[in-house]
Amino acid sequence: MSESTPGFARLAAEIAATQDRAGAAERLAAAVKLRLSTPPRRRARWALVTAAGVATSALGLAWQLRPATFGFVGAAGPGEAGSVVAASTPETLRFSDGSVVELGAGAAARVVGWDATTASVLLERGELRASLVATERRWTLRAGGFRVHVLGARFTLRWDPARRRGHVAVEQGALRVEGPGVRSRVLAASDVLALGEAPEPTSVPAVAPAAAAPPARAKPLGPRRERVLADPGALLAAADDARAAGRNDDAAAALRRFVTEHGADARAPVAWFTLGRVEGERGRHADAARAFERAASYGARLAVLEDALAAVALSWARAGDATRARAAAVRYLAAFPAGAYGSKLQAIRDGGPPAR
Amino acid sequence: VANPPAPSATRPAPAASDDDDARATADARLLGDLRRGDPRAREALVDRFAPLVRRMLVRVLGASDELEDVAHEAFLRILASVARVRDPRQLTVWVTRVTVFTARDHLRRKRRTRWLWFLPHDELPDPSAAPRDADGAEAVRAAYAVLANLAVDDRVAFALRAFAGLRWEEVAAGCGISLATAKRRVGRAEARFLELAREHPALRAWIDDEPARGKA
Repeated sequence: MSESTPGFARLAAEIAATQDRAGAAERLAAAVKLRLSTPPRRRARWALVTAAGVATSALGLAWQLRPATFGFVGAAGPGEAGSVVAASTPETLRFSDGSVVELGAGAAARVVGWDATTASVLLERGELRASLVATERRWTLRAGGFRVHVLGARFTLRWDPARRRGHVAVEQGALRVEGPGVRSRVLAASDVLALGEAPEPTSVPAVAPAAAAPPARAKPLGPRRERVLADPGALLAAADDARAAGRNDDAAAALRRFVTEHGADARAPVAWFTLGRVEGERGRHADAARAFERAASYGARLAVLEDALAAVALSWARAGDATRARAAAVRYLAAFPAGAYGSKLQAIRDGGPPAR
Repeated sequence: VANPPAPSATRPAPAASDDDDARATADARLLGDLRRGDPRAREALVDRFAPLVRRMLVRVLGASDELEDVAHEAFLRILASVARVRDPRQLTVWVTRVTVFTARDHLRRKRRTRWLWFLPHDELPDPSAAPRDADGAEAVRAAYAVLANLAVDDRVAFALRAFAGLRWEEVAAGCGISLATAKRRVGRAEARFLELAREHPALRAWIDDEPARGKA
């Protein structure tokens, strides 16, 4: 077997080293577990149908949230579904399945209700820290217009109703967030999502705690978050993590910020190229073409220059701009007359359908 | 798509070590919990096998934006069929096999719809590893571009043997085929892979092991 030749063995080792990213399996496990625990998301086109059935749903909801054997105990004793807990000092709600919700001082929350498979809590203001035990029960925590769907996780949720701002910070496990500007976003351990009802929320992984340190209680976002975001390495790591989790919107935001603030960084050409890929994956082919152009503008500093030049032409073709696609194809063919993408780009240059 | 056949009860098992015994005990407990419908067992199964499933998928598929989707599908199939595993020592083999079958089906689906794209995005290099070793990242991308030209069954067996480093018996068990068939598929795939790789500028030096690459 030529597998045993040194060259082939090094290639196989390179493949393994490139593919075995630290923490990737844990992140995949978290994403898979969350998918297994949540039903498929309803499509937007069903919104009208759903709205038309509000009356029926309300009746169903009342039935669904009827008290069952599940329950909780607070500082004042056993609580009832629908009761509001306003904590002037930190208060702990202990649920019968072992889940714990700790309310910070000044927080107010309503335990909306539960049934055999679900439980719902509304955070009206302040901060709570939830340690929800993984059972068959799906939890939904609401804050403003946001909904946090959880099977089992430890996380902090904060909401300021006056500013309509908050955040969710995951310490352990995974959860899914929906709400204004957030179609459906899966967060895993160490992820922080800023919640805001006006602008698009931004998500960055929090700084990973030391391995030996006990799980630290997540702190509200503030100046520390800005410092993390501004760090070029953290931005690239955030982009990588977002891509790995399928959050291309976040990946694009992190990469754009990187190339904007760190255009002189040695990693900028690769960041532009990656941004092109992400924009293409988001279906924004014109933006992808522009990003690839910026990547190619670094010339030989970009290891994948040939691919970038080809991608410019192909992205413009996908964007429906035949003129720019043709010009880019001509440029590629001049630079790489025997290049790997030759047949595809010749077809674009000649105005015919691209070769497969 | 049908799941692969259950592991053969007649296939001789290798000699067991203490680690194997401990793993078998844990897997037996896990299987029992799954059969009883313990909701935590599903998560335990995912935790236990996510590294294996991911490793098999990325070795066979390469960098893919659909990795999470394929892994999800693999675990759904595993959970739907795990009750068929009677011998806890065969659980890992079973998970490997279902994962390999899921990857193979994914490749077949992609091949059927390939005409929709004239350059899928996953044909573009993923430069995330480029700062570490641009040549290496390019070679990895090129290797999977070459693999895409192989017959799916041959590609899967070859990737398991050459890139995942499985033993021949494991390749055969993962693909649900005989040892002879596994060797035949890998041999055929290897010959084609080398032929195409030598024509690829990013792979030629690796395959021919040119000293000019400067890699110790």
